[in-house]
Amino acid sequence: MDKQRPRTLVATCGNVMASDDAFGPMVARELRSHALPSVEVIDLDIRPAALLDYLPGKDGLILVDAVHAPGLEPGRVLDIDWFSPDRPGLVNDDTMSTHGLSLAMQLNLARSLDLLPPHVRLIALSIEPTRVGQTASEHLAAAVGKAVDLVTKRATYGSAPAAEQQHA
Amino acid sequence: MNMNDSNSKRNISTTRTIRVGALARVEGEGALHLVMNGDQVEKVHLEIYEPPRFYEAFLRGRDFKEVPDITARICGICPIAYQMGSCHALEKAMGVFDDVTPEIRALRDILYCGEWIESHTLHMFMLHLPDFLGYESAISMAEDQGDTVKQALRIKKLGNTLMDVVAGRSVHPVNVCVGGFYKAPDPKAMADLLPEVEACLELMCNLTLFLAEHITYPDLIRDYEFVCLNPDEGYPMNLGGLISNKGLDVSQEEYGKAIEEIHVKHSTALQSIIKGRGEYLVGPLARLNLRHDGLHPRAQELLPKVCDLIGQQLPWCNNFLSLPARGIEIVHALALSADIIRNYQLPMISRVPITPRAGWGAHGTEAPRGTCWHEYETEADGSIKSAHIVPPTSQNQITIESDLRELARLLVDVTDEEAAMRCEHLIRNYDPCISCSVHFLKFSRDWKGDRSVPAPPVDTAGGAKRDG
Repeated sequence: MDKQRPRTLVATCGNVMASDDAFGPMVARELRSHALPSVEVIDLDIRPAALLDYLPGKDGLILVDAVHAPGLEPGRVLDIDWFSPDRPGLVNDDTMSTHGLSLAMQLNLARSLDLLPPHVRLIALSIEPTRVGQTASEHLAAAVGKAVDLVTKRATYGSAPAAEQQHA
Repeated sequence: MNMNDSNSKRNISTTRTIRVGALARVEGEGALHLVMNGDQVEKVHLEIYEPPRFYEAFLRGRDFKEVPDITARICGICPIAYQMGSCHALEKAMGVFDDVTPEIRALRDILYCGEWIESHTLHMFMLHLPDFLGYESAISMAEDQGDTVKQALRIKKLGNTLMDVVAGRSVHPVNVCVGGFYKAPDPKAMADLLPEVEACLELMCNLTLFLAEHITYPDLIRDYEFVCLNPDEGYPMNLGGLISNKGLDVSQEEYGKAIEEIHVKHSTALQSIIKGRGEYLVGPLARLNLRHDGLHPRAQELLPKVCDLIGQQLPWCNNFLSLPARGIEIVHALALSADIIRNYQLPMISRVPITPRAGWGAHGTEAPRGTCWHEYETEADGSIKSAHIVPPTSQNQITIESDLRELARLLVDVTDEEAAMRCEHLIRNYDPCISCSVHFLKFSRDWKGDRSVPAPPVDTAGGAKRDG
């Protein structure tokens, strides 16, 4: 195996101009300063259609994004298998997808093309509905730190530990 | 597209509304409303209801140096177009437009090639091709056409890589500035791209011929007024005045006076007409028809073969042929990129120096989906006094409605499901970016008068889309 090749892809998504939807990009910025071995960090920003470009050859994918979910209090950080039926919808999926090619659609397409990594996790921040121009909430900074720790643990020790921890 | 399967027919004698779910595979949110009176089309409204985003307003008071980074955020698909338009227009306002070096212009061209390659490939193979081949989506298409989709993904990735190398990153690039680039790309990083550019060029030539040979293109010939940039040499991209096939021939500065933006109730996006004439079309078909002489020799060599395979010589007046037009433009962009890489050396300067001044400048460039025109007025300190941006989709909006009017006449005897599907297909000819012009489209068709028509489905709006 090529030791130089990143095995885990961390892909973040979100809009830095729309309040707590900046969660993903801020996690990416923080992770880059950690220089995790065998981990490639990409910030898809508001252009999730680029995700497919980065999937070939990866053993694991960690998506970092914001979610809206009824009954889920804002500020809560989730760590959940992407294919779990309990996974809430992403802020950026569909509603802000680029030309309709959402993250979920791309992962389904990747599966059709045998490009889907074996392990796919979602680390997400539950946020209030946002609009462009709104400032970040008091939850954001703490959530970014928590997410960085979770991503580091997942990327270092694997994406599918024996004890599934759904909510951090 | 979500909608009820409703193919049975019945007689009705009252107006009715048929609703289907959201149009997928376009950028932005909108709705299509057809009113039919017997077999006649009474009204066609492409209703863009995505709220306006007021970029022009919040640019006011900003330093001119911030503009390319802000305007890049208008669109997640074509940020380079917005950066190029703002850079050129502001260089005019600052009086340095003619100082920009050929080396900087070549870097702008290859950066734009990256965006054309990425955007066109995404649209052709992930969003538009499923329409032609009869698949619901790229996912179902990939099950049968996996190799084609993988080749397209490889080309698309190269487009992103080109942007990464030249502009720092492909999503909202950070290396573009008024006057050039903050830093010239590393010659080795550029040279390392060449083998993949050459490999993708061969792939794209073959894919374009494959699509020309194996697809049956719907027939919808229209008398369009095509508009695009008219560079002194080469294919329309960054430079040149604007021309049309019906007599428009204006400088960049005059373009704002030659067109008129109008507001209609059913759209939050302004619509554009050529003063005294009316609707016009911008985009790949316009560029190819008007300036195919400027194509790279590799694309010139391919063009007659494509024309022969689809059985139509230029000018192409059927916008369903925008699919092969995009294929030819990707070939052009790849071949041009290879040339620029082969000739690339670290330039003496990566940007021209600028002293802020009060001024005015206007310039449009060719975004993947058509001309994107910018106009700025600056204060003496270089802050923005006014900003005016005319995106391609708003320029095409009336033409899309006219196309739909023509198509709707041919669809009176088909089910609403089929009609909606074919209307969506037509709209995707334009690769519309509704987010730019002010995401997903609702379809409704009202019938007036007695006629036998397909039974109306119930409103199935909802599903995956926010407003569907």
